[in-house]
Amino acid sequence: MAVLTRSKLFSVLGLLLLALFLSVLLTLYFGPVQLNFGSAELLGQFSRLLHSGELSKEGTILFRVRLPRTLLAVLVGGGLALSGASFQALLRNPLADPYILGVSGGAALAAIIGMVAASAFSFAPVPIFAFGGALIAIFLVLAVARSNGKLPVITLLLAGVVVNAFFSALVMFVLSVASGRHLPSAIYWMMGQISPKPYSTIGMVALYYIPGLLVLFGLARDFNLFSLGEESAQQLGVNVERSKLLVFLAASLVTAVAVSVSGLIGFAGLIVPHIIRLVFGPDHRLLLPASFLFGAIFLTLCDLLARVIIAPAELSVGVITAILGGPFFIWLLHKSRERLSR
Amino acid sequence: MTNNNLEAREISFSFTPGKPVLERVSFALAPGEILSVIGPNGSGKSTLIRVLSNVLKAGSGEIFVQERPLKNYSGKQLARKIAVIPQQSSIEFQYRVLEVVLMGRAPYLKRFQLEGGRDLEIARDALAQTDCLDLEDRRIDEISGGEKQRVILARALAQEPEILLADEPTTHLDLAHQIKFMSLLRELRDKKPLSILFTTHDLNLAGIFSDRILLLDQGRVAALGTPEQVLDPELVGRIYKLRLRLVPKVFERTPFLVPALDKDMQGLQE
Repeated sequence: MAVLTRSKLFSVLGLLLLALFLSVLLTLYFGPVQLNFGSAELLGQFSRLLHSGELSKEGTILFRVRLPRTLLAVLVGGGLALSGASFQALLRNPLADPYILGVSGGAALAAIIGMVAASAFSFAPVPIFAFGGALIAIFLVLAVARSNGKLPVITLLLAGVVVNAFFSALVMFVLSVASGRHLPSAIYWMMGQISPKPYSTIGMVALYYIPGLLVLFGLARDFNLFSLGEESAQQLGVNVERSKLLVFLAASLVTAVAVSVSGLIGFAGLIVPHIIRLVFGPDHRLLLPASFLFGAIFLTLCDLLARVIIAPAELSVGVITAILGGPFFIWLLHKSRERLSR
Repeated sequence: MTNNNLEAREISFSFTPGKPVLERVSFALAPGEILSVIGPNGSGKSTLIRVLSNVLKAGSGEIFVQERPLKNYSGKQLARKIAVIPQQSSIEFQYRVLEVVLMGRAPYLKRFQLEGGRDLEIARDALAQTDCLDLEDRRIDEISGGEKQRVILARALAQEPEILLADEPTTHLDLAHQIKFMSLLRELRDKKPLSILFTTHDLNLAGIFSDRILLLDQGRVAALGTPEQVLDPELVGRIYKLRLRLVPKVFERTPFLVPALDKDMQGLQE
């Protein structure tokens, strides 16, 4: 039966949660260095971590490198997939994605400016900068793409491409001019990279996510009604203007925070919701949380690939997602080509 | 005060100041009544529906839904009273038919509440009434235009409305589906306390299927009355700028109008 029931909702999410747990274990296990922990040693190292004690070499690899990196992949992947699904619902366009829309580009540029400012003033909330950049980008794209009060797919994609190229150029420009030691490398920003970060950073990401996730999950049914068109949604009791604004803010926030710790990772927000829709249907009350979990799985595994394919060297995770995402996007575009003529 | 389901009192609306799309439109819709709205392109038919469903706010005048001002309704409250069938629905993403119909239950649900057994019952009942029960597991983008319009009607019925507004509901249907759809509306009205207002370009469809007709001319009410009163070839012809002819004895009472074309197939009035 097509209808979403509580048992379907919880069993799907439970299954995805289990799969996420398994993929996290997988990424903790695999790597250039083989880790052999007894459970007692594992617990010992873990309690040392909690009490800020000295870790063994293997403990350092597990708790200072692999675990934070994996957790970051979980958060970034989940966030990008969730905001992708949200932008798709809001714009009634399955080709939308924070990267393609240029939102990520705006966030990246603003994050870099934030970091330059941070080195000058010793403090600047980089994710807030990125949030501002993401908002500017999305409103810019919408303003460019809108014609006669409508948002044709083709102009939306073109506007996204142009805005993205523009912001990417600015990113390179600022990086070249500032080239400070505080700034992550250009490859980090342009291809996206999941790198081990302090737990405080990961906690901060999670904290910034909370309002975004609450808003988006709370509006899940409104998203369904948006699929009928804005006017019909309004006639079914949705406060359309308020919901739209909240979604733009929330999805931009989540994107921005993800970008500020991982650079420009493309296509996760495009591929993941699409696969979830194919398998579990388009109901956003399931699609949004499921996309978050599956996005987390997706990026975790992509990052694992990025680590092991040319080990001991590493690829950028964005290389993997783009290699998977490019053909996928073309396939999607091909499938919806009759919509483009509209 | 009479017991009207929907009442418009002197409502006006304009997108740009000085160019009213609706001008002091007044009418009332009684329980169980079918009112059709006719008028040339740009006469304000669709705008009227959007104003009545609170998508657009009337610039002046007032609308009453069951004796209570429209502006005092919350979005959800209004959606339990008024359901709207749009001219054409393009539904994004591949929902199943039953899922689309269940969206009509949204005005009755709390934020995180899923549809329950009763909602499912109401949705299936709505599908049964529109002769779509066998479609429930089909994808909405895979069914025909006629089926889709009936599914949209089922979604509207799932709102358990007392007023149904339909904006040119038959425009994209073939003749057989037009008649089927309109007959369905009339059956529904006969079965439950439902007032229906629909707009149409088809004068005779309006004549056949409505109790009263509202004729709009450049945003103003040109006539309001029974089909016999409104479907006068002189009056309608003047507003549509077309010579019309009454074909006698098509129906017992309802007038039947056709364009009066001359040999050169010209019928436009000077």
